[in-house]
Amino acid sequence: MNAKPTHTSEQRTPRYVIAFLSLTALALTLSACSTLSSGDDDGAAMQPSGAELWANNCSSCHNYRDPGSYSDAQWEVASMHMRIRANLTGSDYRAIRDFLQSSN
Amino acid sequence: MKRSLLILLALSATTLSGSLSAQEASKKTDAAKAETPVSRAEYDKLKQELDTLKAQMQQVLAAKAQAPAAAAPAPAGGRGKAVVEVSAPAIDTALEERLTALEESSDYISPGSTNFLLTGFAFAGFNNLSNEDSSFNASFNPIFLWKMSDEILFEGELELSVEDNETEVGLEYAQISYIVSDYITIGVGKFLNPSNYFSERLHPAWINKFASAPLPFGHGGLMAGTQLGIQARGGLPIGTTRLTYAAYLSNGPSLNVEGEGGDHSPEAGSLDFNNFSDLNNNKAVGGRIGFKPIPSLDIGYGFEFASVAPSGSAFRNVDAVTQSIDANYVKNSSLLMGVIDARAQLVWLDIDNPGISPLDFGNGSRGGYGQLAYRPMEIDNNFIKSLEPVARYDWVNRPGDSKIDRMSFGINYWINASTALKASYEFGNEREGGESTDFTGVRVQAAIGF
Repeated sequence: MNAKPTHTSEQRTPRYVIAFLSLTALALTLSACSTLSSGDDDGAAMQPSGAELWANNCSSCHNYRDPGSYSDAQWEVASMHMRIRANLTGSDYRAIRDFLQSSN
Repeated sequence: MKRSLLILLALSATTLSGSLSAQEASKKTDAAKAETPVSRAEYDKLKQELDTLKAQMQQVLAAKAQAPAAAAPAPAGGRGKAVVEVSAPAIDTALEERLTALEESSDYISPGSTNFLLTGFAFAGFNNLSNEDSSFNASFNPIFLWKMSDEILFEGELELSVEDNETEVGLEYAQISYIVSDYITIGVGKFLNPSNYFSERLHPAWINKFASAPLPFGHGGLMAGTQLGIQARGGLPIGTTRLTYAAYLSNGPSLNVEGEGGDHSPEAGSLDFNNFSDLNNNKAVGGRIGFKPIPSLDIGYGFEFASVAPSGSAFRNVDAVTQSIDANYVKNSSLLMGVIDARAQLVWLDIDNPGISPLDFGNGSRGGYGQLAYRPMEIDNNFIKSLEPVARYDWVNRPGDSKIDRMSFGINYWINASTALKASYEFGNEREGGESTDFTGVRVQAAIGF
């Protein structure tokens, strides 16, 4: 049997809050570094096209949905929802959104 | 809780109907406008007419500028028609009025700065399992999405299902997200558990290849499906791929201390993931790190630390640590003439042993699943390319020699990209307290995503 030392709730609360804040701070730092190091956001010669990004990311979870199934205004909302769910970068999100709106 | 959810549903329905009523009232004040909504096809038609009229007006003006104006008199005593000249200004005025009316119609139906989308999924199915009575089932899960601006999105999902002769109403998630930058988004509210890849990405009926969830993620599973708290998430570019992350702080699960046993009662030492009240002034912290080394493969590690017992109880020092690794591979293979879809997720749940009855035992649980699906998309036959054979092995091991393992084989028929008919056969073994029971079952389901 493993006996645990007694801790008060006041001592425990800051540990978990600090852990979350640390993870968030790390995320912010990494995102800032990515912003500084990525330079030109377009990088057209290096980055996949909207169609490629759509094919590589959207199929990770579900079947490809016909771009014509939604209007431009609907894709505006749906792609934002999917951006957050799939943790897409802003650049990838805009490329996929523009591809879907141009293909419907 | 049910009352609160009903109130929330009523408020949501009232807000939505009130918003729609306000729009309808506004429309009725304009006597020139139709009462019925204008479809995308009608909008496009109006726009096309507008463009055509503009082009025609330009042609008329150009022609009039070149042709001399002349009027032929009517012949004497005859019944011939006189040619009456219509002046250019009269044509301009008529066309201008028509153009103005069309522009007003276009402006009226063009969307504003905030956008709303009602989406979601639904399913209906039938289960015939050897260890329970056969039964039909159904669920409707509307998802409400409001894009308030380029930075703010609200997303909410309700789950309305039929269970135990009652209609159950649940709030699956309700989250306000703020996009801070291209690489980080902050979300607050109730959200799908980011550390649990299956629950966050694969649980909707039109995405899940089977009619049931893998054993670690169904009822009495090893990981929470949702969290109530705050999260930060995003993606960080690495060359042509990206690292993904999510970190959250939430109320966390609670420890079941006094299990009563039986088919539906929680076992002592298990976690209640439906507890959304913080019992001990401590929060759960967790997250997931993911990486796509190649476009077809997504791998990740999820984790959660939580203090799970009520403060002031004898078990107040009991912590729970959950870890999960997941791998998801989806590839369109020309060699195999179709799409290979392979997924797996393993879960480790370790809860402290406080050395106090009834929880004085090693409280570690393990579980996972592995799944393979294939769809012959490149076969030149519409029926065959819509078929998708699937196979899955899943299991859960709990303290006290409790184990369930199951093998499932199924065939799906995709009517379209988000509508499927599923049928599967499963067999397995359940061991509890020295007793071992084999089980079999058939599940069929119609699932639609919209």
